[in-house]
Amino acid sequence: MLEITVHPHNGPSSKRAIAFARQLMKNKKEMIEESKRNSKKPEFQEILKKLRELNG
Amino acid sequence: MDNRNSIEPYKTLFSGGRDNLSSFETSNSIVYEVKFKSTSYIFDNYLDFPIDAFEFTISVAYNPTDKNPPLDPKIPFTIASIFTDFFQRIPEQVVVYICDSSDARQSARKRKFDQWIEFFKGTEFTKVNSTINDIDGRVYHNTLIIRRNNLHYKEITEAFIRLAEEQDK
Repeated sequence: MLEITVHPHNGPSSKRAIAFARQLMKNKKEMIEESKRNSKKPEFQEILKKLRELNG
Repeated sequence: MDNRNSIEPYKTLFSGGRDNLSSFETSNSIVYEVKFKSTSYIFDNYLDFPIDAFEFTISVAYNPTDKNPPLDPKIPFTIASIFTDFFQRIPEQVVVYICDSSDARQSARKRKFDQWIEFFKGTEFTKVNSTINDIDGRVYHNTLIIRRNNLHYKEITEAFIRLAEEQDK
């Protein structure tokens, strides 16, 4: 895999860059919270059952 | 001795849905969920054309051990397998990942993420690492993963790099 690293600068990034990062963070938190909530639902038990069948 | 070739990934289950959910269960009975949430809209102001962009997240959905999940050498291979499957479904897509900065451990998470995708082999992908500094001092580590033969490879990678480099006057 080709890897490119943008070296960080000092001081705050632009407003639009910060808005971009904050939106990604918000999405991420929502997805993680949703995973926690869903693990208590019957649909998750169904996934668990299928995973255990897959793993034999 | 390097025994990477003998490590098999965990079996994964793709349930799909809004966030393209995949799950797998480790040998310790810990269940992980991997999601790819459509985030194309957040690129709307940065590119002149629409793209298929997804935000990648991995989280523990079930942990019966009551302990922090241990390091598991199978997980990087499993993540690589999920990434590969997902890119096969939508070849023109790009994936972004941000490290959680809520408790100042984002650098450790970045290293873990890098480890997870270390086994994402091949020359067909490019990974762009960038950092965005918030006004309150928080640092967000972001990663973009894009297939090198993406039709808009140059424009997308340059836009991502520009975004990380720019500062308001």
